[in-house]
Amino acid sequence: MKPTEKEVFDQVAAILSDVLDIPTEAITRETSPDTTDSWDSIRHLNVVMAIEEEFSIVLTPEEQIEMLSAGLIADLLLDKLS
Amino acid sequence: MTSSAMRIDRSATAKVLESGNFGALATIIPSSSIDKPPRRDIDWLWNQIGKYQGTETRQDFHVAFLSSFTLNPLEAPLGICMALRGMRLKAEFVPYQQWEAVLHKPDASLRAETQLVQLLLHLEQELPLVTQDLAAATEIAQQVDDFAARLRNGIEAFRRASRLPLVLNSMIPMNRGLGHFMDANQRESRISAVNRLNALITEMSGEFENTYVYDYANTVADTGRDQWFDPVNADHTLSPISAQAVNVLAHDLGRLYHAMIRPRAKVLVVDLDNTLWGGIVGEDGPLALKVSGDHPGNAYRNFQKLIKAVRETGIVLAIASKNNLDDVLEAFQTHTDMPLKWDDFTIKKVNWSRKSQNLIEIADEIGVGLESLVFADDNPVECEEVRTALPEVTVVHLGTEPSRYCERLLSESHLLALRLTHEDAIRVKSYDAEQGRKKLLGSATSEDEFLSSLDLELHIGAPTPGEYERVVQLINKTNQFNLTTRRYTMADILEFLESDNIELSVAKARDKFGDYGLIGVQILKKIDFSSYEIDTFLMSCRVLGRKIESGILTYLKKSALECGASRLRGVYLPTKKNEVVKNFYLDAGFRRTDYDEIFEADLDAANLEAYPRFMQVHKIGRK
Repeated sequence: MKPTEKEVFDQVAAILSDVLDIPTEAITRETSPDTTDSWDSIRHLNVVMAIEEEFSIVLTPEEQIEMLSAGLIADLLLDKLS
Repeated sequence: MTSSAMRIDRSATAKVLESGNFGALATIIPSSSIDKPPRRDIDWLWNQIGKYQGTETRQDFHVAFLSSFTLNPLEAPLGICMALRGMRLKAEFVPYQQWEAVLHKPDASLRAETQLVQLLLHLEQELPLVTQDLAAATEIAQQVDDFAARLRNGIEAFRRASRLPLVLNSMIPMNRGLGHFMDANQRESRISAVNRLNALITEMSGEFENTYVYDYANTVADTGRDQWFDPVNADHTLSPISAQAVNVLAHDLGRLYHAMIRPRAKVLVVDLDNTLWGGIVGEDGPLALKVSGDHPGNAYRNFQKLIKAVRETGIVLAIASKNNLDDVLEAFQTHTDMPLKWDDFTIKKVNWSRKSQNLIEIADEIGVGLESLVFADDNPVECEEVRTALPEVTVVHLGTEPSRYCERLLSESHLLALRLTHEDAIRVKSYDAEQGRKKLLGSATSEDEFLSSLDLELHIGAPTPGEYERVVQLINKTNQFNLTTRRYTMADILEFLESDNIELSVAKARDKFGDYGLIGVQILKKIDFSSYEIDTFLMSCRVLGRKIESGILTYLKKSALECGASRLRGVYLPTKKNEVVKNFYLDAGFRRTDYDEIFEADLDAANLEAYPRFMQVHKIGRK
């Protein structure tokens, strides 16, 4: 069964919260490396690893670069999981 | 995927972190299963550990990583492994592919607090020809030589500037390529080139002080090359190893660093029934025990062989078994072809007491702390009893499959050494010879008579380079006869040896029962023009009760006099374990000073006491 938009976003927010050490409630679609100190290029690697593992997918280099905010990550996943 | 991974219990973790007892994290995530939790849980746990605000009991451990690829994801799992072992990881990841520059200028590029430098290089980046299909053999050979020369130059430069431990790594190609079948059939191949390279790297570790090799190639082999390397990541990110590989690497490096900076285990205590042999001797009878032939007999036999080999590396063996002594003796007499003999065990506790009680007695009789004990048993209840009663003891639950016992024992304990010293090889024999000495002591009428009958010989002086490893080992693990319990690293030792104001000497002892090897380390420091201080005075517990210390003290007085001192200062810093030397300086005729921990003696060549009659003291020549 295809997950809903909200389900995917909530899961992304939970992962970002764990990896970047920010409260889940504070994460919106606009949360991005620009708004989050702990989300640097190094931590982005950890984000990619955690997302790939959690959703059992492989992200291409282009996709990894497009993952520029929590909303964009959720959109990308919805697209990939459908 | 998430469902098969082991999630971390977050409320249990929070409780452990609140208590500040990081060792208890092992109940939530044993270091041997660091590869099980999903990545987000590892990151979460590491973030939580980082936020810990309570009193910090962990020792800082600063590592600088020089790698050919982005290694930063290693920080979280390695940090967790170190936390489990009571250490606080401070990792510094030098931007990849700068290893050579850093080796040449460590002072400019590394933090001042760095305690260890770890290289982690991949062939693909450093020696691309070696991993390229059908490159000419001569070109490959040339590249190996060039790389080895660059690495050697780098280490040389590093050693001129720094004494920090340096860990190199062996290498393995990401894949076998076109050489899959071919390489093993040709004298000159990619495989032979890599083997030669790894042999050169091992040679370098022997050539330079405080330089080691981490066998990365075999760690990759343990997991499997296909699981380890991720060709997609390799091509489009800077991190060619898989998420699982990062975690396995963390577990392995955690154990390596533990072996490098913490004392190794000294005693291995084993159960008997269903541990050393299949079956229960008291119920099945000695004849029915499975200890040879087909499975599971062959598995128990292999486990015995491993334990026998562990003994050869200087670990004392002991038995803690709930049995009747007669049954056990009969078992050893019936199976004379077992690899392990009754006499291989220095202490045997065969009785019906609690195992924790027996372990306390074993530690006591050998004269080591509980943290030096490893206890292995197949029975989960016994393991739990010991774990609860004696948290200091390393407990290995062997499980139910004897064919896996060897692997369990080695991966869950601190029995592994980086290098064996001469003392490791002879240690167990000395413990056994101790039994002979005790018998002699029983028959001698006076202590003096006993000591004279030992034919004690003492050699004191500067250590040889081959002995530095042993010096560091003794300084960091001696607790009882240790006046100051000051711990020093290899880097410190090398500095002391070069200093004009510091005299580091070692003592080696032997008697008619055997060679004890290097058993004492002394450090004299000049404090002003007329006085020296005994900064460090320690002796291995194996040689206590022979008055060797009085010979060493006389030697120290002579040394200080020769350096022009007229006063010698002794220091005693009390710990929980060094009570035995509390009155050492007073008994030796030193006087108290205004400071509780400091004692003084005047030195006068005319009145200096001679060496004790019952020992021959030889001074080892200086360079």
